[in-house]
Amino acid sequence: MVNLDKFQKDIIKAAKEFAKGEFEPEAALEYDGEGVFPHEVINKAKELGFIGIHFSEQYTGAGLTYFEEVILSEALAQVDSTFGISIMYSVVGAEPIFLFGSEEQKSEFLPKVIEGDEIICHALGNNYDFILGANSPCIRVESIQDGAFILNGELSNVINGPCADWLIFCIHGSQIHRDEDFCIFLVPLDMDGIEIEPKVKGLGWSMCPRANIVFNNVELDKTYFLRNGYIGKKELMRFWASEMIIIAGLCLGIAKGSLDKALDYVKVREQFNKKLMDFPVTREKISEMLIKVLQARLITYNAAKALSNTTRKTSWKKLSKIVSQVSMAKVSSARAAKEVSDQSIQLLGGYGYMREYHVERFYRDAKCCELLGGNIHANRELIIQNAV
Amino acid sequence: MQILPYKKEHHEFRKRLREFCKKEVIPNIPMWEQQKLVPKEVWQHMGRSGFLCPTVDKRYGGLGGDFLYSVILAEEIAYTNHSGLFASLHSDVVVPYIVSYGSEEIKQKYLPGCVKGDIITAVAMTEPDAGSDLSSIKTIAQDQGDYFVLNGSKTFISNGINCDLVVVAARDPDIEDPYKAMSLYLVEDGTEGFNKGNKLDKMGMHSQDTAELFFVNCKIPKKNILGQKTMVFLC
Repeated sequence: MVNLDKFQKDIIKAAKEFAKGEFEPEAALEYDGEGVFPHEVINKAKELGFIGIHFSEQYTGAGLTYFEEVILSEALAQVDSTFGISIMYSVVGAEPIFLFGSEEQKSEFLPKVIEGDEIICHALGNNYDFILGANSPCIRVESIQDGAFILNGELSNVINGPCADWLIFCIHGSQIHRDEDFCIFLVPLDMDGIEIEPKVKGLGWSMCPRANIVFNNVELDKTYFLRNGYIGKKELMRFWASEMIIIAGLCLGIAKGSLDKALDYVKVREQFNKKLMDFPVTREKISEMLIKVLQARLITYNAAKALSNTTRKTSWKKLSKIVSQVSMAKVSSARAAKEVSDQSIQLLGGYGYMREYHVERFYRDAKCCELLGGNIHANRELIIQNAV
Repeated sequence: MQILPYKKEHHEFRKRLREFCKKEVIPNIPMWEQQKLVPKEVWQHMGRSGFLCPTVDKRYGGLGGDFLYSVILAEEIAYTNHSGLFASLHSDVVVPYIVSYGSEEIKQKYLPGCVKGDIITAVAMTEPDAGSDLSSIKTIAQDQGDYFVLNGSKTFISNGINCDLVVVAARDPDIEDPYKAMSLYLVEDGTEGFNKGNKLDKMGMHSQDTAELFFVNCKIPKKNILGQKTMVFLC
């Protein structure tokens, strides 16, 4: 079993108390139905210090690690996955600044995101095809004039795109004769030439609105660079790993939260003059669900601890191994989330299919976890690449 | 190799149905999903085009086809990627109750409408506390001489809002053995004491009008019992 210290247990306790108080079931149905970004709840989470806890204290973070982010994600998503996802993901867009930003950028932007009202979204998922050996640029460098890039193209499905103030994206170095690098930008979304096209609500993650972001001859000089404008594959991998581990944590919460709902139900529901809990088929299902939750938790906690110990100086070899572990955590916890929430719906029967029972939402959110943060096939590729 | 023995007529039926869906169903699905209902006119259009209840005898206006027609109907509606127009439930689950157990009078009264799409049907068995365990239903049908009086509530009833006719499972309160107490009754929409609840808000199947149904001192004619009394668990 994983031993948590008192401080970590307190984080979980505080997060659950917060979630139970603020994640109102009625609001969840409404926000989920209409695809609303829960600004107020996120601001309350900020006030209580739940946002960006692994960022250093000098940037108003709590100086903790990815491990604490994982247990926080799990606790929030266990109470309500859609709210939990929205809160945890609201800060993922700022992660590249924390990982690759200059000192000035970190000091300027991180407090705005952690304590202020600003949202940064990222489109680095659009570069994920790079892992699979493809390189189809979403954003094209049309020309370079006086050191400024003229960019055209479209970034698709950018999470929090419709409500963000800033965007981080990158283009593959092959477009500017720097094959080994990615050129990374931090741009305000109200800039000339940038158009935000909100997308209709998808299956899950409904409190994280998505948009396609279209570039029409957007002119960016080096003042829009993140750090000095170039990051290597290793750095991008570290970012992806940080995103994957948060999603893995959220998946643990989905699995555990839906299992809680199923347990509550089978203990009281009676059919054929017996509690559902007393049917062998129910006991079989519940025990399988418990196993899946614990397996996913162990692999995720383990990977989160490993990732927490990485720095910019971690060797490529070591990092690849850890990224592989993190990928395994994401793949297995997403699978656990999907399978356990599926079985929870099954145990609740027709009620599980009704929105007001708040079980089907776990399932919808779980499916999206298989697709986001690199879909699980790209995640698997990271595992394979490390193994061979 | 053809596994199912489809004939030329089956293929033609499928072709016509697919054309119908392409024209009358698929373009409207986004609207139906939003309204959480398929308009009754679509059912009528479908019925008058010969696609509902394909196995019902020609005497009642049906096609008199074999079950392969039902298979085609189920496949082609599913192929449209929506489930609001639950024609299979109507044609191959509910209407067969009437065909199998209705008196000649009942068949003549309802079947032509079911075929034409003027009568949409539903079956009401599930209750809030009775899902898999059908014997535990609480809805009762009391024999009061000239009529039965129904009391109880049903849930998760597909076609619940659109239905014009419902097959309702209810117990005779005077019979103790739950397996012997149950019978099926036909209740028409508009019968006093029969009320439809709200559309249920579901994970998917948004255009399907799944609903709760309520029966409060709902009087129905004696002839609306389907088959023999208390036969539900015996057949």
